[in-house]
Amino acid sequence: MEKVSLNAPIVFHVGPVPVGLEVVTTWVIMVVLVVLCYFGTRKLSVDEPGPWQVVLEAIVGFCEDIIRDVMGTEPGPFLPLIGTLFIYIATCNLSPLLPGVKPPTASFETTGALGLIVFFSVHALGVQRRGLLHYLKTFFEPYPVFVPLNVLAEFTRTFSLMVRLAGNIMSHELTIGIVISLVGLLVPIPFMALSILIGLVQAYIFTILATVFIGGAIGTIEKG
Amino acid sequence: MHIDLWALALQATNFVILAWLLHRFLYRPVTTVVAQRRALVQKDFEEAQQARHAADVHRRRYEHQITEITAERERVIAEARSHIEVERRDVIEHAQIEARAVIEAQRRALDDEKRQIAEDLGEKAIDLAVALSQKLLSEVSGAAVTAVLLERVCVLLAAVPPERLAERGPVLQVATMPALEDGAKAEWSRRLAPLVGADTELFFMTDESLIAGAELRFPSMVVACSWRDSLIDARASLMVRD
Amino acid sequence: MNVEMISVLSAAIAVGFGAIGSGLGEGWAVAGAMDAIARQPESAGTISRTLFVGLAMIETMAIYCLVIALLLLFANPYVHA
Repeated sequence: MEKVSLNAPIVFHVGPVPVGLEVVTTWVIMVVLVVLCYFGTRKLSVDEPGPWQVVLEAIVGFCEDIIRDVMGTEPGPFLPLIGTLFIYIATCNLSPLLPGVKPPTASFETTGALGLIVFFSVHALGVQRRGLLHYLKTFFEPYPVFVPLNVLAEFTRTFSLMVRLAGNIMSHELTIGIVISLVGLLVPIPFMALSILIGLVQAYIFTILATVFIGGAIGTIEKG
Repeated sequence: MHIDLWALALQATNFVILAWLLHRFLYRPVTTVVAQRRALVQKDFEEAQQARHAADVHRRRYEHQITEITAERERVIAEARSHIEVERRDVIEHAQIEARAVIEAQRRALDDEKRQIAEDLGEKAIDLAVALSQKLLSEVSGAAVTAVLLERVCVLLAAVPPERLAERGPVLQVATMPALEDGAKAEWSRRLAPLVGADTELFFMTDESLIAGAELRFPSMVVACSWRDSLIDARASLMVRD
Repeated sequence: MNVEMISVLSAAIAVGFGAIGSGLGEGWAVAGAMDAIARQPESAGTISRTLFVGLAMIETMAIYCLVIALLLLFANPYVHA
């Protein structure tokens, strides 16, 4: 049996910094996304939107609707974080449809980075919106006895966010790999189709959960 | 299995950069355009709302005007109808009065004419009678006529009650037509004397108006026997018959 | 019985039991969602969105087990190849 590693291979080193494959893939995805958005938004029209503009507006509108539905506030300041989470994760999850590409979200480093960003964003926004004391007071609810549990929940839910996304994508990658190693032709296609659904659903879930955490922190909804 | 902290840091940085880039190149332009479009739609909607409101106001005003016009029309029609009614009654009344007057006038005119015609007829009849009698008399000799007249006068005089005869005056004027000849006059005097008394003085005269006849004119009374009287009687009876 | 055999057995047990729990949970969740949609078809959108989130949460338990199994199989710290 061939040795399987759960870590992404190191592509090259920049001085002491090792640059993994997922980082390189992320850079490529970033470039593609920015270029697409740059050329897609160059000629925006109020009256007669072209097909590209309609697609972009639909994506942005979808993210705005998530924020509006879940948090119950206007999306304005949260749109860059939430929207980018969805777009980036969805793109990463769909990237293995191209042959030879390994999704960056299959590695715990990437999802850990996303989880950390959500973690710090939640607390930063909570403190910013409520004030430090008011925000800390939410950890004493419903009873002061629950403080350790509340603090622990902050870490476990971030950890579960990370493991959920990486575990889903990585396990599905492994499943497809095993199926391909068993039957190489046609049979993996349904699994690949399933990977589209799983990828989009996981991106949606990650975004929704991040929105719920932020909404709970800034107090527009019950803390989840 | 280990977590590569360098990779973690790189990915976090990547994500932050990507978020900024997308904010710069995707969210800001798209939300701006969407907001512009929403403002445009909102403006159109408000304009349409205003237009509808204005149309509503117009419609309400027109409805009001229509009801006013209808009421005005009803009023005018009713007024005209009452006017016409009054006028019609006036006209009918006038016409009736006029018609009655005309009928009356016509009737009166007709009556007048009838009377006129009757009178004319009567006159003509009298004239005819006169002419006829004159012609008749002219054919008869005066003596015969006066003889007859004398007989009649005598009879009449005899019929006068004696008390009235007693009141007679002393003068008796005898008017005849045709005129009496001298012999006839003597005859008349001889015959009348016993009846009127011998003391009565007789004067003879001719009166053409009698046509044919004789009158004994006392101061207090007249005994007459003439065709004129007969004709007048006949005429009176004619008139009465009408 | 050495460490590798124990690891493989543990991985199989972890995946198996994890699958039982999350399978039951997902079944009940879907049944409840169907019930709710049948009763209130107008709120089908909200229900299915919440269902998806809930399913993913439940599935996460199985995924945890799968991750443990994968760690045991491919990244076992006690096995030094």
